[in-house]
Amino acid sequence: MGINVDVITGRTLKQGSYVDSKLSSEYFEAVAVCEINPEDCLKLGVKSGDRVRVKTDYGETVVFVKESKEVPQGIVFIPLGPYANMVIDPDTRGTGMPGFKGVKGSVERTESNVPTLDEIIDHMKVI
Amino acid sequence: MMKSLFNMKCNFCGNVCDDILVQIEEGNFTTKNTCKLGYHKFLEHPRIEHPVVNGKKVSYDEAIETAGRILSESKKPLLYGWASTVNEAIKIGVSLAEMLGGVYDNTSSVCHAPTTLAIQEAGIPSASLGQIKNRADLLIFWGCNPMSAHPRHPTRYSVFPKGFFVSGRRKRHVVVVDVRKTKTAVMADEFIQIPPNSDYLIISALRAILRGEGDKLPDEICGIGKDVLNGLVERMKSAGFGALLYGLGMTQSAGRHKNVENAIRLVQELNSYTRFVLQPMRGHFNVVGADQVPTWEVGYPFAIDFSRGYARFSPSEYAVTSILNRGDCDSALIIASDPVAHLPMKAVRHLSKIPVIQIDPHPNLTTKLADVVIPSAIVGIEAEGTVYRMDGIPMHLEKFIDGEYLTDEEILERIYRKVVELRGDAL
Repeated sequence: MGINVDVITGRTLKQGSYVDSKLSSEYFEAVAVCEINPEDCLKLGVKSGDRVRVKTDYGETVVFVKESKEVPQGIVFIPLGPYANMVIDPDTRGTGMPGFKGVKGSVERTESNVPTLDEIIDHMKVI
Repeated sequence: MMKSLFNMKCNFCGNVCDDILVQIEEGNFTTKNTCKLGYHKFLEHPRIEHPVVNGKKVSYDEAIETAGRILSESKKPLLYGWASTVNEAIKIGVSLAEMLGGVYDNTSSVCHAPTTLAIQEAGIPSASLGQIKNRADLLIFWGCNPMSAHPRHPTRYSVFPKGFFVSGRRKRHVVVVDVRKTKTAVMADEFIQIPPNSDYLIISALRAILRGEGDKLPDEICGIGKDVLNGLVERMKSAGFGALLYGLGMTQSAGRHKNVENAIRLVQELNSYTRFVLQPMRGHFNVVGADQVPTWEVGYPFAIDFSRGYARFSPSEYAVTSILNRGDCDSALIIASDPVAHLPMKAVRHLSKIPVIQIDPHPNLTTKLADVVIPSAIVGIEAEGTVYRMDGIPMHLEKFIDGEYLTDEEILERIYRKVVELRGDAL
């Protein structure tokens, strides 16, 4: 069973620390995550390290769960990077700025694998 | 023998901290006084080891020749990035875009470009970081999380330092307005948690209260009690010197530049009661320069199209996401940035269909798509130049290691000359 959420993105210390090593496992671990409130984790039946599928009108991706009290219920946070890019709103509303924050979507538990960065690039070429 | 270099600058975020101690011994160096982001920035990371064209190792000359050929044969090349290089390189980039009839855009278009649009509408009542450090007794962090994005901002410029007129943390009241209870919110005196995309309405409510029209508001605005907003307005009016420091929570949410414009109007109106300033928390160490240099060269900060032979500015048409969403460029030169990692998937897709030239010290996701990859020296370590701090203060980044790679400036100069040669233009 999935839940409806607002997806937001932003920098984290770990993401920022590895921006010059984007092909490293540390960068992958920093950006292929979704911070979810513990109450929402209970509803989804997931804990840190499990995988969830995040879907919006603009795409979907699979990322690892990170339980976090920083985000309130109904909001999930994906660090800026290739995984967040799969689900954010590309429409700039005439400003040049896409919608990186407050994108309506849903989250559900999944057993699918988290795509690698190469898989994301291959996917991007064919969509 | 170990050599110590004092007051060096960090080349990560818009803070451009200028108190870094670099110690060099036998060609290796260590740093002190950095935050976690700066510490990692100065560490050794994988490098693009040599120029590459279509997957084959080539010389700099061959890569620059191929890059020049791609650009000169393009009808409308996109020249994008610029936020992590120096003003001297950006200046050549703007000239190159103009000569090619291409498009110049920088990473602020997915960062603080709405701030620039808002400033064009309303001006900016701002101050240097030094003034905020020395005078601000009220700090409002709105939609920003410096503890993760600008980790030394609170210790050097805002929350904790002993200022000339403010003796330290206990004399400053810190408010955080955010969607998440971030690490910055945890250290604040007051945290106002707002729903996503509610910035415009809440700022409008604050302005209404400030004008004495609060009785017309409902008891709750976007789930925030009117008493909370009344309290914030009273605190703002009674501050000796207030600073509203805001981030992408405001610029990337619904409303974009209108949120910022509303915040600027609020701060302007507060100046009827006390001194109040506003400061965008700019991300990369020279994203301000990437706006400023084209502004003093051709009159516009970003999203500039030269295809008619003169500069035209229109973010809805010429910002990187807009251009790529439409597939409206036939080649791209990407420098000092990684759009494949930081743009919406729909926009990135077009980059996989056109020739891409990348100039960068480190391999990243854009490298995987690029047809021509040209390695460059790391600014602030192997290359010097001028950058603008987030508050517009120019800083000179020194070089302290001799690297084996050409600088961004040298590479762009050579590409420029190659394009001139291929097109038969006069210099």
